[in-house]
Amino acid sequence: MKNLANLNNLELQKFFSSFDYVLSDVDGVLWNFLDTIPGTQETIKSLKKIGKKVIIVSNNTSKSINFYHHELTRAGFDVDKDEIVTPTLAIISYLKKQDLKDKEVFVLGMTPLKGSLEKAGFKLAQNEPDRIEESHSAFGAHTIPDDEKVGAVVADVDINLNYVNLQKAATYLERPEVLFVKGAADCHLPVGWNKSLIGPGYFTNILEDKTNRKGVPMAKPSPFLHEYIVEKYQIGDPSRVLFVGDSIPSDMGFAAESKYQKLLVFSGATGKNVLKEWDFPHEYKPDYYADSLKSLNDCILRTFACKL
Amino acid sequence: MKDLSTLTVPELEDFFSSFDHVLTDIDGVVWNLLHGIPGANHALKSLENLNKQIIFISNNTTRSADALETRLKAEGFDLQTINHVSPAPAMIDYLQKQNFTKTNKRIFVIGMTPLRQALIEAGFKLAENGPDRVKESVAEYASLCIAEDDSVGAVIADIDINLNSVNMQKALTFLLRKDVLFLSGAPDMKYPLDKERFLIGPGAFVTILELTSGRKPISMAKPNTNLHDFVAEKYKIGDPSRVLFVGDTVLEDMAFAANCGYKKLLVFSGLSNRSCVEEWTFPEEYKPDFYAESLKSVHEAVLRVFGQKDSSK
Repeated sequence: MKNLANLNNLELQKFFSSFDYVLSDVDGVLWNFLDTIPGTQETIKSLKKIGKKVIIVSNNTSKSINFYHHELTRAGFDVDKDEIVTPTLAIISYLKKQDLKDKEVFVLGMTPLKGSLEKAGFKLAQNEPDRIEESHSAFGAHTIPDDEKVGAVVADVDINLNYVNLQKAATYLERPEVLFVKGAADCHLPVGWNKSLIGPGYFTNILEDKTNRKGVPMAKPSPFLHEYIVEKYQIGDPSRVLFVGDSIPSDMGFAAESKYQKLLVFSGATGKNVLKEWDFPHEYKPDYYADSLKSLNDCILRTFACKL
Repeated sequence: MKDLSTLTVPELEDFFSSFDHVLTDIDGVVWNLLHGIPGANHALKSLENLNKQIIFISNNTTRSADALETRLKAEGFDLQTINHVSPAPAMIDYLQKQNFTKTNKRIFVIGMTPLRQALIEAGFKLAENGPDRVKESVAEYASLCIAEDDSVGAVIADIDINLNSVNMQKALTFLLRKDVLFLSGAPDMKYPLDKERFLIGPGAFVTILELTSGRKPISMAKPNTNLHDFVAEKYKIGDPSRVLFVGDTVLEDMAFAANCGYKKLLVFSGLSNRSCVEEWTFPEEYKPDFYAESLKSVHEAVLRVFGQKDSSK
């Protein structure tokens, strides 16, 4: 593990010629909740100037790509719409490859995901109501009947998730031919420093326990997300990708499985103390670490000063 | 484990003199959701005639005491006294013992109307629940759900078919304060429909609250013995071995009876099949002392021992 700030000029030159793509996480790398991390906008600009392809990869499915793009642009990040990847795109790409035909998709998820699925041509099955009559028969009526028209269940984050819809999803999944795809599946939903909510992972765990099935994961660190990225951007050699992230299990884990180079930044979920005693799988160790993405820009300026 | 229908008359005489109270589960023993169980009414009446105290016990808080009485009358149960225990009165009793009303705090309830009404009638104040639907903004959702509220002094997590993410999150926010009491009702991971099928049970959500808060609730439902403490005090049961517990499930009913030291009768009119006693795969201590097809067998046993003296018919 090398401190980016300590690389000498020769090492930096080798470093920059070792990758063509930079895949960057958002939360904890470009911004934290409402505040952008200083110097990161310049880093994105510089990376593009030196000819690197920049791709933003986030597990956040609660925003549409359009909205995400709008937010990023407004915050000063030079990113095109087709340079943003979230599990939503991977879910759509995966479903398109399955033979769903006219079958409907039952979604536990929010409007941005549902809207994207519809735009991609999928028909969505109707969800159950937010509130039902307080009776055993009403509960049964809303949860027990199957529907052969449903061919897939997508379980993603939904702040309006309720018991009835969760059970309805389980009912559909009892039929083995119904596809089971997972979007955001973390057990924690960070919403502020030291504040996190019950994440979608707890609810998808209930689904998996009830049905004895595992959903196909589409969020970091899933290899399905990696497959989607390399296919979309025609990445031949994953070692030519530098992945920048702040979370070890999600980002470094993802990068390790995908065989990318890894840059861990300490501007988000992880503190420098992890370097003293590495408590995670050996393969998750980053190749490089830095205080934040700004350090990468400092290195670019040192290496390419005259060319920028 | 003895088949009740194969006991001799002397054995049955011993059986009937070995208990003073009958603690009986309701669903699957007294009746099934959609249809009655023949002979159950005669069985309970004949036991009452033998001076046994009949106490109905259920984890189902969605059925109020009134609703129970109504259905009992409609199905020909002609008992002099109707004693009913569920997590609801047990929770109320617990809170009263904690002098909860003196604290002037409110209770945040994940639960249904009969439970809420019972709490209100007992003089407790309930905190507002979150809405059925919130605007799709994670930031606003977070503000709503993590807002502190010092007026909340207890959280009850019981079955709620309208349970949603918002209310789970609010419950967790309150539970992060150690001084907030945490009570739970039915712990079932499965909501049984019949012998084979089941739905996701309310326990799955209580488990999420346990995992995220790091706290274990005070369970006021079978198989936890807190419910026994309530029953024993209310009905002045000094010796649990003088209680015959009748239930239809092993992991909830027989386990509860074992934990409490009751005598156990397992019936096959509900969720369990005779096959479970033919090849016992559960913990040894959950083995019932007796088993039978249904409560009807109990009535037949009464007739065999006490003849037509039985005036239940």
